[in-house]
Amino acid sequence: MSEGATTEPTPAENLRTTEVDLGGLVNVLATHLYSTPLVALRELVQNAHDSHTRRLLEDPDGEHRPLIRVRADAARRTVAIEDTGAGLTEPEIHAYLATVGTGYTRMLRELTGNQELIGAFGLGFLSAFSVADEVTVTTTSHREPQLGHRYRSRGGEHYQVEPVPARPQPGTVVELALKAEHAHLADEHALREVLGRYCVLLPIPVFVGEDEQPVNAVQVPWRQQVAGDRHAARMRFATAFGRRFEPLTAFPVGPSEGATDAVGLLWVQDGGTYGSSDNRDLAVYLRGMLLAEDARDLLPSWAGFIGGVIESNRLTPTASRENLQRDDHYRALQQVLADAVVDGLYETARLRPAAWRRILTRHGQDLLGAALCDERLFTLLADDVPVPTSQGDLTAGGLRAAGGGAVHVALGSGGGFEEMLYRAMRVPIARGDRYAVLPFLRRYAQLRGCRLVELGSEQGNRELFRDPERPLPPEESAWLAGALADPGEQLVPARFDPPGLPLVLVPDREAELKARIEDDQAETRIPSAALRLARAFTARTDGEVRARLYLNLACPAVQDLLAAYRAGHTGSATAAGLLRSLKVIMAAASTGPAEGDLGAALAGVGTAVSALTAAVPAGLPDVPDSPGDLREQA
Amino acid sequence: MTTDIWAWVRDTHQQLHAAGHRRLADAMYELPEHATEGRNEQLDAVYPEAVASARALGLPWVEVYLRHWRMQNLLNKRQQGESVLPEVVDLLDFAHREETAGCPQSVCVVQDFAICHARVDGPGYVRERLDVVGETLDRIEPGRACFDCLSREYADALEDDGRPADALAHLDTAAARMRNAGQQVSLRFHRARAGTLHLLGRHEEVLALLDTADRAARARGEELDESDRRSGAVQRARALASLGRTEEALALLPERAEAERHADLRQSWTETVELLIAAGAWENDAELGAVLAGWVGYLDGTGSHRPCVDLLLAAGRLALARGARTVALTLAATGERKLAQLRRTAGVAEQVAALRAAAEALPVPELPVPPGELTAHLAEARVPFETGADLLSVALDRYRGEQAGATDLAVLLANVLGGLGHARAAAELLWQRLDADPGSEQLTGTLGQALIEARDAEGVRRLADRLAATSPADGHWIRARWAAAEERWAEVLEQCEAILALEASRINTRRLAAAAATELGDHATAQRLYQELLEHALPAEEAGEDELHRTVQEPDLWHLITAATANRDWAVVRSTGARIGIEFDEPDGPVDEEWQLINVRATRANGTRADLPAVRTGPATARILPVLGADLTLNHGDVVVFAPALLERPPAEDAAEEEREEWRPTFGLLTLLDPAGYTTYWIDGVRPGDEAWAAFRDALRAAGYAVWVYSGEQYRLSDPEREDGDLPGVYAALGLPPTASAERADALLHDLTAGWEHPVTWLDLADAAGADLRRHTEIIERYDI
Repeated sequence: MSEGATTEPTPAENLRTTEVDLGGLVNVLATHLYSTPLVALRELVQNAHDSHTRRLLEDPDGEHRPLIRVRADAARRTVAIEDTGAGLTEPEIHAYLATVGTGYTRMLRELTGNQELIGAFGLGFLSAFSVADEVTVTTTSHREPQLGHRYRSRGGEHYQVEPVPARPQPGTVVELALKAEHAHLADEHALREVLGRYCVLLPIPVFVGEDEQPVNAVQVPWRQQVAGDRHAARMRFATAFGRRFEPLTAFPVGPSEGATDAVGLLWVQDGGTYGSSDNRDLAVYLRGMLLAEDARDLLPSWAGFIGGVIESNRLTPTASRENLQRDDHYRALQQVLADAVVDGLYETARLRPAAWRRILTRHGQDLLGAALCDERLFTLLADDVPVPTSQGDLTAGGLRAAGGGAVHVALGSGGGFEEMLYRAMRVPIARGDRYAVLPFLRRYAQLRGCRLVELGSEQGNRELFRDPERPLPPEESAWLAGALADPGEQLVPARFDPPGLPLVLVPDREAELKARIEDDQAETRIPSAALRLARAFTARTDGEVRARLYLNLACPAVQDLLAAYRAGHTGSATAAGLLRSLKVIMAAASTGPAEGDLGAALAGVGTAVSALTAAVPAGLPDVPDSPGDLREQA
Repeated sequence: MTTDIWAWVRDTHQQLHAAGHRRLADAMYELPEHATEGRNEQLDAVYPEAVASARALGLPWVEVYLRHWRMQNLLNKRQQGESVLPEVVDLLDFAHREETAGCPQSVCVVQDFAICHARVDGPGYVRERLDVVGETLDRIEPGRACFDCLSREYADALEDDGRPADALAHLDTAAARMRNAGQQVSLRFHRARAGTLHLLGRHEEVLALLDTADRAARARGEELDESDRRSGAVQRARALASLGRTEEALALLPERAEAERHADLRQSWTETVELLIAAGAWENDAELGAVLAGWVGYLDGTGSHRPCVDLLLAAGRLALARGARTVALTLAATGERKLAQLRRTAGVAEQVAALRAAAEALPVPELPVPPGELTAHLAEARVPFETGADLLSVALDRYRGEQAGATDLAVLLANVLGGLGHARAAAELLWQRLDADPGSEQLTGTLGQALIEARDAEGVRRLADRLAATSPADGHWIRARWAAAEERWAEVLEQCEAILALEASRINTRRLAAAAATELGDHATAQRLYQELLEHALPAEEAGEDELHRTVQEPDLWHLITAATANRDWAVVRSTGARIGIEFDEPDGPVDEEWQLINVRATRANGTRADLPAVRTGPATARILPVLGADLTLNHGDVVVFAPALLERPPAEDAAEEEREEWRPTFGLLTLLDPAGYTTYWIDGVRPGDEAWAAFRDALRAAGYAVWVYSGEQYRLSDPEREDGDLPGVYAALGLPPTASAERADALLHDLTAGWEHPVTWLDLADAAGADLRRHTEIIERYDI
């Protein structure tokens, strides 16, 4: 402040009372209305800006170089906002600084509901008291350039106005003596950060401290006629504005006939998707001033990677002027923004393949989910977006090609017999337990007419097991069942990959559930009426088949076993016993404590080995020592 | 035991967040929102990962919570019934284990369990639902949030028992108890009470209550979500329509598209529309009928048996009012089938019977033409679908001609019924017809196609098995097409060979078999099949109009050329090429000419596609130009076989000249024919002047190497040792011919770049050559490559 504080005793007639009960109001402002003390700064810069606007209206031909300068003095704990605008005459001081809006009653009404406060100068000014103990306004009106006035108030309730020497040029300085708890505002570095964002769209340059560059120097690509590459201008703006992430690309939002007047810029952020997936970041401006810092709900909820700035005169702020009313225009704008994101991504894919590839890499996971929410986006992404698989990230098309025409996706998080089969299949398998993968692939398969094998679902598992080329004779089935299956297991002759795997045991999930629900212990856990009803459900299945034993007729070992049996080979029972032991050992390995006696199975291996290595009793043919021999005999 | 579910959710969210499990933490908040607001796609996206993480982290409470909210969505928003019964029972069991018994959400799982039975057959399970919910209500305090939900569920069961007055009394008692316990009554509770008032015919009170409830919610600071807004609008519209305030009801009723998207709106929406139709304010047309039939089919599929019957009765009433006899009878038949799935049929059985009686009493239309001419007549006279269905039904009943004629009518009727939303009835009609006319190719073809399109594996198997006995070739053909639809090419070939063993003259069978062989990379078989096709095809001049597919088509010849090329059978390539007018520069020997620049579309290791510039050297061959990285199996100089079908359309006549000039045909890669054996290494660094670069490139090419620059003008490097640090960069692939060793290449690069102001690096080549890598790491560091 250039004039310094006066030490003269204040004349009584100059000590006036603000025409509202400020004690209560300032309290409301400070504690409820504004979420952050920074908003007070915004209001004062807005006032400074309005003051320039007024001067241009009143004195269009005058020599007037509009600028706003904000200074901070950490030692004195002050912040000063200086403008070269219209300035105030003494009556104007009493009218504008000492009354609030158009009256207290209306004001309070607006605080509680109706919200038409934009530009209500007094309210904006009073917000200064939410951060400052004392506010000093030194001003010279362009209409009385020879006069100076100083308004001073502690708390806002009482104030005094005194004459001071005129300022060198018309304009106003508002100095805030900050409250102790807001001392951090007196930091020019922080001010640059904050004002750079608040004022980015203001046409009047805003300087911090003695800076030569205004904080709002960056060109606004949708306003100015930008020379050269428009995309580059958009990127510069987005880079200057995006605080958290550097943008990967940027695209415009234009007004939409009949829907919204909003214009601005959206960009794809370069944030990783590890932490939170929702990094939506949208700032909304009204007449050049930041209105809502975090209007993320205007962006589609799937667009967690989008940042942006828009300005609109048709959005209605709430009382705090930090949020937006969810009216029809709000909803229309939501739709326009969703379309703009999709259009922008299309353009990026078409015109900027390198940026598009980076977007796919960075935001693949989010894009998978987004594709589900928007048909056009799905069309765009279906072939390009990476899907996490057991063999790294692959596109759906890549999965399909590697899967022999079928897309494989595992539903479970591993374990069980499936795990072993998947490993043996050696095709890439999409991670169905990852975000959006399963529904994405389902839609892909549906639209592209390809087969989706959902491993871990009943149907998917059934697809792993193909029908045998021809059914086994009942007599052979019966022998195999007796030789290989344990009680509760149903033998199912089939063909499956890999051919080296002779058999696999698949538990029946309904039977497992039935066993748990019908167990006596359930009565102590589950309320009785619910349990009765649950048992009515499980009673529908007989539960006799606890597991299916799929026998691989494409497996040489099984073919040899059958050939030996058909030939009446004495070794067939021993060989079957070996397979039966293998079944139990594999089941134990894949599911932990499984049914079947592991000890007996291991002993069975020993028995089989002894049988196979025992001397051949006289009179019996030699044990064939190769499958080839066995086939010749059969 | 924790009883405040939301306090637990907050704590758990914070703990998960602090422990770095942010995605699961976020899912704790997002998943219930997606679930209750009907954002089904987003729920499906989040759910599998969230549950998998909860399991992996050993958090059974979180698992109960996630599964419960998803179940709420499946039951309430998607109106699923018997289809989710196994999961709901499993969840009930899981939520009552030792490790989950204390979870506050376990109580809610009981509610899921009750709702599921309400969907399957609400009235049929009244006693059980009252018992299940009642015993749980007895165990919890009115101050708990679950008390609100369970009380609604209890009242819902009373309503299903035809006791809305008792339901209202129950709700009011429950509300009083909650208020006494300091618990606020939820918006949904009020909405449920409004539903009860609707049943009692107290529509004015419904409107008043809905307004009060919304205001109360707002006063508590709750934003109404989109789902609340939608369901509130339907409830209001229904009350207004009930009061005869038609205009207001019309203004509020959500559009049909909303009800299509959100299955939970459909019942009230349909009720309201019935009222509006009665008031003459809505059109009762076939389109509405088709939409309702589709919704009936949906509920049929999800095993929501009772809502299915309720909805089909409404659809039946509207069909009767339209005089749509066949549609009403079809709905009656569906109703009769559904009755068998209900436990309690009192009330509805009579209504289904009444629907059938009324439908049968509708006048039977007169046939305007003899049955045999009806199909043609319907098309010519553009008869509306529902009338067409009636005429076709009559014609089918009265038809006394040959089987084929009746089958024609049945196939058309099935198509019409399908178009009217009765997909299942359409399929059943075809199956029935098959009994009468088992040999009809048209019938098995249509049915097979419908089953394949519906991905009904069971149906395909059933049809194929059925045909196997009477016409085995047709049975194999269905299986072959099914296998082709699923891209099981080996099986396609197997089935087609079986057909050809039975009927050697088949043409389309060979086309499909050859396509399968090509997919399998078995070009010898493909070539044999196409050559056989040429032998067995009808001469074009002898073929009738419906036999065109039995003549040789140009694509057959192209396919033969492709297969023969892959097999290096150049004589066949040349002779077949001659048939389609291709002129070769040389009369014999391998075809290796210079035709034009094309793109060959290949697939990278990660599945994305790459369009590679290449020189076409014959009808189906091309030589790849760029030097390629490890993500592609091809490289410079490789000769490949492509499928000569354009993958991108040429630009339109009126397209910009530039675009037309730049355009090159793109073809799909089929197989590698002759590898050139180049190995790729990378050169990176500051780009010398144009002249120096050209000289460098030419020298390399003269020595048999290949170069391909990947960087563009945007690639800039900086040299910290100089003032004007911003320099153009170059990133290029160097292809080493099979004759060159890495050592020689390394030495050559040293020679050729010796005079350059800024040194460039070829780190991986130097590594392969066993050279000292320090030079390269220094360059990389200096220029920050």
